[in-house]
Parts: sequence; structure tokens; C-alpha cells
Amino acid sequence: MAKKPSAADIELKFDGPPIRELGGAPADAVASSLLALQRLVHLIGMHAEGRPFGLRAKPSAKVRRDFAVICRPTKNGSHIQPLGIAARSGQFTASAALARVSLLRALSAFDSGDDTRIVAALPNPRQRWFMADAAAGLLQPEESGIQVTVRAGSRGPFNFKADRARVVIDRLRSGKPPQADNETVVGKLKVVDYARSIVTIQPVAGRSVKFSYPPQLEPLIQANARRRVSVVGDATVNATGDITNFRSIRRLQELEPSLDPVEGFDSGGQRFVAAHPLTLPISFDFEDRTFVFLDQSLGIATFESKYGAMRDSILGELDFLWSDYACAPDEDLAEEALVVKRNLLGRFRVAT
Amino acid sequence: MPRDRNDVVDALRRKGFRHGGGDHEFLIYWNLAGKKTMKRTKVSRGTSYKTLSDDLLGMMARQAGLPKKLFLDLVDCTLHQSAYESEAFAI
Repeated sequence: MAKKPSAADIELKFDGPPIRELGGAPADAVASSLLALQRLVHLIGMHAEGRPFGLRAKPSAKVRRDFAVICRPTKNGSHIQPLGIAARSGQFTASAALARVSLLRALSAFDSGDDTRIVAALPNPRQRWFMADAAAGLLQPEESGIQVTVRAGSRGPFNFKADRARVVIDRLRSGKPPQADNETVVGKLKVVDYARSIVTIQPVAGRSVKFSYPPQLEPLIQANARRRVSVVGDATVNATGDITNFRSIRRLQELEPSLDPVEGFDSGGQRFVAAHPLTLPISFDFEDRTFVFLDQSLGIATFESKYGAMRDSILGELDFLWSDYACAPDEDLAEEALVVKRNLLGRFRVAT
Repeated sequence: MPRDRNDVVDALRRKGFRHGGGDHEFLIYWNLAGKKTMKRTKVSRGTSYKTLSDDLLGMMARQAGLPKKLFLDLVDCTLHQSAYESEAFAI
């Protein structure tokens, strides 16, 4: 049985002289508006799943399944189309609810024409370009006289009036899409060319990505051969949305730690053991040329120039944290240090 | 630009950093409220570390929660303790 419109529905309204004269909305205006809204929701879903955008990038089957625009039955004689955002199964999932909020926020920002609001709603310039490009489907030809509006629910002000947003949408989608910055590739470290210091990463979907690495990184590369890693950097993306290479890399992060987990450490002549082993996923910061291990809950922040020194350095840091924080009187510690103290005491105990 | 280790340690101690207890190489930051924070920096010992290289200063800066340039400002005394707190503890 078809669901009735609900308060969570979005309303897409067609108005203007042609609608009144025709007693209905032209099919191409309806189709382009619905496709635009579906494209916007797919882009929000792709962004939520960390998938890069591209001019010919298609949403994955999962995104299409989880982020669908559902047309509800219209009221008799109305030019208002109620729409829901839900999974294809009809479930109003948390991710669909977030997509609804993101869609309305983006449309309101376009409608306001205020750059600060637009950047706050869509901070990534590439995402901004693609969202504006998709929203252009809501803009009917100026001479048509058709007015398209969108609002959250059946009452209250419109979040988006196409005519009001026309100038800003056209400005935002002008030129080529901006380069992809701060993109992440997750994949298996497939081929290592030690002679030329080039590594190839094979993501689960999409094409493999090659990049060169500094000699200092070689031990980490060797330790992660055929394992999954993530790479973050400024990427070049082709039209189908695949990352082809990196213009610059910020960070390489292990996903399957290569160092043995810490099961205990020595401090003050005593042995302390962990309630459960502490795994050590190491990352490499390309800018500082530094190996990094961070565990905020335990207060560990280890930086080393050599991969081989990381484990000893982390053990040394645990020794320091234990003597200077876990054993410190509460009244000496700032708030965040007290939290660390509690976490250390909960995680480690004296070996018997 | 490399810095003399003693100069760096002296400057940090003037800005609220104190040596950790025991046999550690860490300088811990005590905030203006007189509480021990999680910000600290490791000072390498040994004769080969009398002068701290650019790389080492970069790592010390990250531990102290500052970009390297601001950390050098802190060491060179152009960044005051209150300014350090607002930079390093900004969320």
C-alpha cells in the first residue's frame, strides 16, 4: 500500500502562469527537477561513503539502494509533489535522515546566495561544484515562467526558490570542477618497485594508484606488502571519479598494524600488563617525514623519524605516562589529563 | 633552523614546561591554572643532540600541539604563555 505523505516529506512545488494555463506541469520540468533532487541525494550519499565525485561518476549500487528519493502520492488537483528520502526498501534510516538534512541545508544555502552559508553547508570546493551542477536541474529556462520551489514539510517558508538561486548556482558551477584535495584512497599495497621507490595501491573498486615514496618509508612499505593501507592527499580524479594519481600526499596510514601489539610495559621497576593488547597502527606524515602513533584515550603521541624506533618509543612513552599521569595525584591534573589517568588505570594493571 | 638544546629547554621552562618525574626526557606543560596537561615534548639527550635539528624541532612542535613556526616563536619568546594556551588547546 502506498504511504501517505508524512511530516518528514519534502515538497516540490511547480507554479507560475504556464502551470495555471496548462492545468499541470510540463513533464520535462517535473522530470528534470526530480532527477536533480535524486542526483543531489546520490552526491550526498557518495560523499558520506567517501567516494570521489566525477563528471561521469555513477553512484554505487549501495548508494542507490540507501539514498533514494521516493515520490509520494500527490493531493488531488495539486502541483505539489511530496517526496521522501529513504532507503529503497522504504526504511527511513539514519543515513537517509542525515541526507535529508544535508539536502535542505545545501538548497537553503544556495537560496540565500550567502557565500558563508554555502561554504558552511558544503565545505569541500569540489563537492560544492558538483552539488551546484546537480541543483541546476531545478532551474527551468527563465523565459518559461515556471517557478520551482522546495520546502521541508507542508508548512513554513520555502527552503529553495529556483529563480532566487539561479545566479549563485550558475556562478558556483562555472568553469571546470576544482581539483580533489584531501582525498583518501584505501586499498591493498599491491606492487612495490624498490628500484624506483614507486608503490601501487589497488582499491577494492576503481583503478590502481601509483605514487613515489621517500626512502625513509621503505620499512613501513615492506611491512605492509599485500596489506590494506589508506593514503590521504591532493588527488587527480578522472571524469568517472576514479583517483588516477596524487599531486601531493599528506599521510599513509596502516590499517592492519605491522608492529606487534603491546601486551605490557615496564615502569618504576614493575611490569604492567594490558587488559587487552594495544594495537599499533602506524602512519607516516609526508610533510614532516615522521612516523606517528596517536592514541588520544591513553595520551600516547609518538613521533619518530625511523619506523624501527617506533615500538620502543611507544613503550618509553607508556612508562612516562604511567609515572607522570597514572601515578599523579588527581589535584595536580588538568581535566584531559584526569581522563587519561582513568583510562590508563582501566587498561593496565600490575603483573602478578 | 637548528637550535641549541639548552636554549630550547630554558625557553620552554620559562613558558610553563617542567621536567617530568623520574628518568624521563619529557618536558610537561603546566597550564596557567597550575595543572599538569597532556601537552609535552620529548627532549633528546646525548652529545649528538646538543643542537636540535629542524626535523627534531618539528616533532617537538607536534607533541607540544603547535605548528613548527609557532613552536619556534614560543622558543624565541615572541609567543607568550597565554597565547600558547589558546593556540595549543584550541579545539
